[in-house]
Amino acid sequence: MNNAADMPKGRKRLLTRIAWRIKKDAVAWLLLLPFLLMIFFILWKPTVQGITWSLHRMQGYNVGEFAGLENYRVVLGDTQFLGTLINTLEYVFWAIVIGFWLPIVVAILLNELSLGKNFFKFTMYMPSMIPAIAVSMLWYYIFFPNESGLLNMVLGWFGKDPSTWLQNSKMTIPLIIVSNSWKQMGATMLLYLAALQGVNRDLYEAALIDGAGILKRAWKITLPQISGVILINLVRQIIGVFQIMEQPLAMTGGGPNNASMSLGLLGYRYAFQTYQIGSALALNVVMFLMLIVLTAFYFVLQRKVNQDD
Amino acid sequence: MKKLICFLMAGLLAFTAVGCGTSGTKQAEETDVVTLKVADWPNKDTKPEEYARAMERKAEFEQLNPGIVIEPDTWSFSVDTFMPKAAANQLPDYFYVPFTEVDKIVDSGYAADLTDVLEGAGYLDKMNDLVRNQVTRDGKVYFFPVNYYIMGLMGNRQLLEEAGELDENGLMQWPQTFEELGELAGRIKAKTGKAGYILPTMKNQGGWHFMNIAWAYGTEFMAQEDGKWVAKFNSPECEAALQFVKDLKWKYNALSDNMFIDNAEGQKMLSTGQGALYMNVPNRSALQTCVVNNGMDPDDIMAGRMPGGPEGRYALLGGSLRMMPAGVSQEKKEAALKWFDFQGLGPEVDEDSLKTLEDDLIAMQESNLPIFSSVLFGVWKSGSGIDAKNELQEKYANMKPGYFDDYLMLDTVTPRAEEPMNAQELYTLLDSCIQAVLEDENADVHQLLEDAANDFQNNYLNNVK
Repeated sequence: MNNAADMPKGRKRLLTRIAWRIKKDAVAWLLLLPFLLMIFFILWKPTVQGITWSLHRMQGYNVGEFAGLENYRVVLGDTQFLGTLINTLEYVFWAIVIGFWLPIVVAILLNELSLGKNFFKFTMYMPSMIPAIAVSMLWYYIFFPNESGLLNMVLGWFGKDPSTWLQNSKMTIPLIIVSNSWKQMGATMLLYLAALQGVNRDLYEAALIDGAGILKRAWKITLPQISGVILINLVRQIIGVFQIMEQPLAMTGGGPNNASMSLGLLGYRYAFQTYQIGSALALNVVMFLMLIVLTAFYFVLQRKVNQDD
Repeated sequence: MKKLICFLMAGLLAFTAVGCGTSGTKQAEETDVVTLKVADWPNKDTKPEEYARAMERKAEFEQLNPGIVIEPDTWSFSVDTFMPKAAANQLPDYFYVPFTEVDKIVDSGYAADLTDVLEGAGYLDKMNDLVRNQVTRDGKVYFFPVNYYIMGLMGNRQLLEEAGELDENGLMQWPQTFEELGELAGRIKAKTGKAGYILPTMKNQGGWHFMNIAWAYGTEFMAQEDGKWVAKFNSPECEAALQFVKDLKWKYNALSDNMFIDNAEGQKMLSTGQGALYMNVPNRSALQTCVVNNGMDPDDIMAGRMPGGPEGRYALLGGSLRMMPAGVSQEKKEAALKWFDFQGLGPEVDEDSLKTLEDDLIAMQESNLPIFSSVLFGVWKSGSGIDAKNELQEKYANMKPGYFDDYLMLDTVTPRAEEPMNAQELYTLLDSCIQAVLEDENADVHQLLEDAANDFQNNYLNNVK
C-alpha cells in the first residue's frame, strides 16, 4: 500500500510545500495559462517541429522519410551560404556603427532638454509607428538612383551628379541599415531615456557645482550609470539585425548581385520562392543555433546588470 | 471576494484561449451538395461590375447543376502566398496558376491528379501536344489548360512616336535582331530621356526574359550526360547574350537609371510612358494590367515579334492553368470540370458556355481592351469549340489595324518551353548576373557565367534525384 502515512517525512514535506505553492499561485498560473498556450502553439511547437522536420525529406510541408543531415548538407554546401553569412555579419557591423550610438546621444540630449521634451520624444518615436514595409519604400525612394530620388535632388542643388545609392553593391548594406536605424531609433531611445531618468539627479547637481559641462556630465555620470542598459541593447540589436529580412526584400530583393542578401532573406527565398522547405528549415535551425549563443550571452549580461543594480 | 473575482476572470480567460483552438474545427458535412471554392473571384468593392457579372454566371451555373454550389474566393495565386495557404490546408478548390510554377507545385505534392476526369471527358486526346506536355508530369495530368502564348515585344505608341520611330502610317518597324533592338532603344532614350527598353532584373523576371535572348544566341543551358544533369551555360553563346544585356546599359544607354525592376514595375513603366519597349505578351492579363490597372490608353499599345539572334528567333512559352489541391474529392474534380466547361474553356462548347465567353469578350470591349480577330494559341486541336470561339473573337475584334501585325507573324518564331530542371533557380542566378553587368561597366561576363554555372551545378543539379 502506498499512502501518505507510509511516505518518508522529507518527501511528504516536499509535496505539501508544492501543493501550498500551487494553491498560492493558482490565480497567477491561471492568468498565465492563455499566454503560455499561445507561446506553446505559436513559438515552441513550431520551433521543435521545425527542428524535427529539418531532419526529414520534405515535399512541400508534407514530411517524408528521415533524411538525417541531408538538408543541412544542401544548405551549408550552397555556394551562396558563406557570402550570405558574411553579408549578415556586415549588416550587424553597420548596425553597430550607424544605429547603435545614435539613440544614446539623442536620449542624452533629450534628457538635458527642459522645454519641448515631449514634442521631441514623440517626433523621434514617430518612425517606429510606421509599418516596416512603408519605411523601406520611403527610403527606397529617398535613395532612388535618378534625379527624382530625394538625395539625388539634394546633390543636384550642389551641382553634383546623381549617385546610384542602393545599386552600388558597396553601399547597399550601410544604406539599408540607415533606413532600419531610422525606424528603430525612437523605441531604443525611449529605453535609454527611461534609464537616464533613473539616474540620481544629485550626481548631476554635484557635477554642475564642480563646473562640469554637458559632455563631461555625459561621459563621467550618464554613460557609467546606464552602461548596463547600453550593453543589453547592444546584444538585442545584434540579435535583431542578425535576422534582417524585410528591408532587403523590399528595397533591393537581395541585390545587386546578392550584395544585400541576408540569411533571413535566403530562408525566405527557400521557403516562399523556390519551395525548398527542407532547406528553409535547416537554414533557420542554423540561424536559431547562432542566435541561441547570442541570446545566452544576453541573459548572462542581463543577470549581471541586474545584480550590479 | 477580490480573490474569487480574480480566479473567475482568469478561468474565463483560459477557457477563451482554449476555446480559440477548437472553434475552427470543421464539422463533418454530410450532404449531397458539392461546394466548389473558386478563386480569382472579382472583388465586390473594387470591381463591382465584374463581380455582378460573375455572380450572375454563378447563379446560372448553379441552376444548371443543382448539386453544385460555387463558393467565391477573391484570393489569386502568388508565389509567396501559395505555400502558406497550402501548408495550412486553406487553398481554394479551383484556382489559376501560371506555367512557370508547374514544376514547383507538382514537386511539392500540392496538385491534384486530374488525369481521370480529363481522360473520362475525352479531353486528353484533344489537347494541343505542346500544352499537354506542360500539364503532364510523370504521365499524370495535374492542370486544366486555359490558354498559352509566346512572348514578344510590347511598345508604348506615344513614346515611340515622340522618338520619331513610327512611319508615315503611324506604324512601327519592329527590330528583327537584338542588336537592332539595342540601337532602337538607345535612340529612343536619347530623344525622349525615357528608357528605350525596360529590362527586369528581380524576382526571377530578369532570368525569365533573358532566356529569349540567350536561346537566340544559341545558348544551351543544361544537358543530361550519363544520366546526370550538367550546367552548360558557361559558354561563348551565353556570354554573347549577357554581353548584349551589358551593352543595353553601357553601349546603347537604353535602360532606366533604376536597376531594381520586377514585372509589376516593368508593366507600370510601359503603361505610364516611362519606358518604350518591354518583353511581354499581349494577352488579356497583361492588357488588363496596362489599361485597367495602370491607366494606359489602349490605343497606345503595340506589339511585335521577339527579335532574333545568330541562332534563330525563339520565344518563351507561357500560359495559364487551373489547378485543384491534392486530396480534393472526386466529386469536386467532376464539379470543377463542369465549371471549366461552363466557362467555355473546354474543347466542346454549348449555348451556355458560349454565352460565358461572349460575356467575357463584352467585358473586354467595355474595358477598351484590344481583342484579336481569332484565338491566337489554341489549347485544343479538335472539338466544336475551335470554330465557335474564333467566330466570337471575330465578332468582337477591335484591335487597331497594323498595331499587332508583327507579333501575329507567329509561324516565324519558335516557341520554347522552360528549361527542364530548376528553371526558377536558374532565373534567380541569371537575375544576379544581369544585376552585376548593369552595376559595373567592367564586370567580367565570362567569370560571372562561370560562377553562375558552377552555382547552378553545385546547388541544384547535383541535388536532382
